[in-house]
Amino acid sequence: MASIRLDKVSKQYDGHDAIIEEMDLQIRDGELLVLVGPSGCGKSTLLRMVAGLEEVSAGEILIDDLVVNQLPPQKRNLAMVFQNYALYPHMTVRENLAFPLKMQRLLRDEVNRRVAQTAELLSLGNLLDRRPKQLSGGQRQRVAMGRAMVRDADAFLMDEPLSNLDAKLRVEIRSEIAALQKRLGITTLYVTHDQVEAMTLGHRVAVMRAGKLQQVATPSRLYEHPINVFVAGFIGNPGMNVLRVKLETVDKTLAFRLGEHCFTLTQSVVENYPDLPNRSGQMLLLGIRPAAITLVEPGGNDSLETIVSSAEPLGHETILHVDADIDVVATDTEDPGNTLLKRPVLTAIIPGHHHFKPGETVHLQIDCDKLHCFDLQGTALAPHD
Amino acid sequence: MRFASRLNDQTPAALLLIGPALFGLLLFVLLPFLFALLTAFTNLRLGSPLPLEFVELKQFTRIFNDPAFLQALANNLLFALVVVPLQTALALGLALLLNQGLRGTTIYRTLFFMPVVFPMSLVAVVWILIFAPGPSGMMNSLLDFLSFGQWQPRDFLRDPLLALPAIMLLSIWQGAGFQMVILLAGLQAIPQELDEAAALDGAGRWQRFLHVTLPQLRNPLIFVMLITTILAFRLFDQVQIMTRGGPDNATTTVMYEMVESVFTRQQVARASAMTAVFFLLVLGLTWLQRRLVRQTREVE
Amino acid sequence: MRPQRSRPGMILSYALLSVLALLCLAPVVMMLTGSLKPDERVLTEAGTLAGFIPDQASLQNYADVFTRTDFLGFLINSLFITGTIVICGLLVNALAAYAFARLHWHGRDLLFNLVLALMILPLEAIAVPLFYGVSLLGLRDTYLAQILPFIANAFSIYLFYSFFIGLPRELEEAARLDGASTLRIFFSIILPNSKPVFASVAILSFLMWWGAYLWPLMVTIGPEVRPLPVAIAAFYTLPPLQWGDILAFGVMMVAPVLLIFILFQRWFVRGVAASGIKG
Repeated sequence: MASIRLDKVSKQYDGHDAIIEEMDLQIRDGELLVLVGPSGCGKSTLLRMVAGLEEVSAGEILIDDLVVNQLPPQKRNLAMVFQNYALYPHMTVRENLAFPLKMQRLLRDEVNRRVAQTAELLSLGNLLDRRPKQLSGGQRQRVAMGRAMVRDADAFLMDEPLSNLDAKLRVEIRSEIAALQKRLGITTLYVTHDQVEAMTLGHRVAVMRAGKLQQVATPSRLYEHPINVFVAGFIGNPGMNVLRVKLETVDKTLAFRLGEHCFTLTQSVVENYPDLPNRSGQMLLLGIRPAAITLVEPGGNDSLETIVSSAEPLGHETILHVDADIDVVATDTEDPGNTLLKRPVLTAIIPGHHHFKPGETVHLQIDCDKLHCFDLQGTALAPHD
Repeated sequence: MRFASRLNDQTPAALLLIGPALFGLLLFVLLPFLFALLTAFTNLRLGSPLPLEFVELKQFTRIFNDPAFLQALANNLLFALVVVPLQTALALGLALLLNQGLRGTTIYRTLFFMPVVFPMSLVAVVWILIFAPGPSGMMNSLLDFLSFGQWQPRDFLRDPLLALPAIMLLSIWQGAGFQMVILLAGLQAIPQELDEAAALDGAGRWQRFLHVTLPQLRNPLIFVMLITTILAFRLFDQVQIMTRGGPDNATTTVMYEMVESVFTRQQVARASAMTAVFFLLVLGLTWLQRRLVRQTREVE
Repeated sequence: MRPQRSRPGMILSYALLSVLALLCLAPVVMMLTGSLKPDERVLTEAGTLAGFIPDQASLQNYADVFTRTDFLGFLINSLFITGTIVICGLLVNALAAYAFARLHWHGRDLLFNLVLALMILPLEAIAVPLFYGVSLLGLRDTYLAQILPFIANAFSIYLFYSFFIGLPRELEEAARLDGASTLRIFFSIILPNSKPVFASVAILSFLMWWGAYLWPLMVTIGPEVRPLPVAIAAFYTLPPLQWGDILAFGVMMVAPVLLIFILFQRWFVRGVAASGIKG
């Protein structure tokens, strides 16, 4: 087992902007760290640099405190699971599993023993003499895992290993991977664009955007305390609503105005953000999880009148998108405080199955206990513990 | 390409892999070719006691004043002008017939492709028999039958007017299958939806062929026409075996003149000048093809 | 679904195909039946229907070929020359193409452009200087002169290159992580997954060199290293002119190739089509 450390790692192709900028990241011994971000953010490139398939432009990659920048992939003792599995099409499952062992010049008995052991672990026993073409997607995925496991690598690198599977299988294999990793206790760097995968699998999750690391934290911390509006908008399904509001002091309590209504901040929010009273009279960004919005009868005091733009009834809950007279900002820009969405849409998750008609008026209430505060640059206020 | 480190620089391995091929290409293709271009401006002869001299364009003026060489160029040109359109049209027709999904397509395709595996020298020898003079010759009898007895038996290969067409005919017989296969692959690469969409838009069979199939087939068509044109300028085997350039230079070709120069008369320099002319022709044709293909890519 | 063809259209198609197939086949059938007939009847019957009917067939002409020429010797020459060019060519050109397609090295793009440029040079453009060199070195009438210059081939490299560039890169990356060296990757991973292109290149270069005439005509003097295409032309000029023998020679010369072609015709067709895909 091993730990992997990235020290100010950058990647840049000649004459192009940097793909990855000065990234620091540590994957601890035995940890499953998920690297997540939108496509094109550089997460796969980073993985390939760790594997040795891509050159590091600047900075150092260390495996167990040993700088490996100059080490070719075959000398790093890392195993990788590729997005398309990269099973050798002309070899049977058995030969695929044995290939890395043969490259290590292990004795035939040892090769057979380990192949059998791995096949047993992954229940591939009855597939050993088939070729990849004769396997289903899930089976191929498992063989790819097996080929990585068979050789006692120091760490696993996984590049979107589930993205070629259908939704149901994805959930199934996701938990299998989690169980296997726990059982083997192997250091794993897992790359995905799917935040659900990241949240369910990762011991810790690293969120990347445009070549820069945003936040590394446990899934729950990531959800509860996103470090900026990008993480807030990226994590969660759907992501957090971020509104631009003006903080005011009304009757000695902090409040903000949405449309015609004034919402007062609760004591717990104010305690969370000790800096808030100093910001009275300023604009700030307010994050509201869709689940913190509830449907209320009209006529209530603290409710917001909105117009349904679309609804997605999912059975156990309904995702509701409404138009309102508010300032909603884009979470995936450099300057969120000044990037208002052209059409201010607020997203809410309403428990149960509902049928809303577009154009219908609904009244929503915001749970002011669960607000997140960011400055206009999008950074969470007063980093707290 | 520059490498920040040695991690991914595989120069030593690469040199090992390309070594043999590079050695062969440089020594047996590039070097001889450059040598030919240079010697075209000298008086080099094999085993000649005369000192080697630089003669400027003398070899070129000589060959372009040689009626046999001019005749050879004209013959190649005529061959290309007749064979390229005829053979391409025939191959396209065959490909279209075979692309209808009829039963037995594979058998027909095998039959039409079969002559391609026949060595040209064998084809030439067999067709000498087919073109045999006298009323019992196969071609003579066929023409006699087709013209209801009006045909006067001819000695094709010794007839200045008929010798070259005779060679054209067997060249088409041997070469059409090759083109057909390439065009058939081109036809099969056209998405079926295009044809269906055009049919739904109300285009008839002929209109679909003209406005969908042909434009989609443009690049394979250009390719086979280029190959056949270059082949027309490489014409040698049939001529050497069947007519030796005769009668009266009626079937001589650039290649035949070149080989005659170097082989029978040891005139290396003169043959090199012909090589240069031949190369310029090939270069021009290839350039033309690349331009035509590029144009379509820009249109797309 | 292809548009349904009308019945008259179908009949017309079959009629056209059959007439063309007959024309295509006639010389071949004539060759075969002629080879089975007494020499003096070949020429006189070629123009009649009898030319296609092998009555009183005998193998006398075939026996004559063996007594009048060293057919087996020519066959072995052809097999040896073509076989060596094809097999060595597959290895040499595939290795080079792999280096061009996948390895990172200095000068790669420059050299690859050179290969692309050399592709337009047909043998005819270098025959004269090559002949001069071979003559100076006293290598006429050798196998070497017929084999060595043609192993490395720019077009083969190009065909291999186009195929290798399309193989999933991850296969090789996986193999590298599994600890395989470059050569090992080529032989264990690339080669087994490249059968189609190896078949294409093998078939195209086989067709090219099995039928080659110009070059062997120039460099061979005696019959010792003479390949079949030159041998049949020489046999035709060998008096007395006996058409039955010549046709028997031709049948024996083409039969093995025809047999291989019929057995592997899908590969032949695919191979030729592959040569036209890029253009």
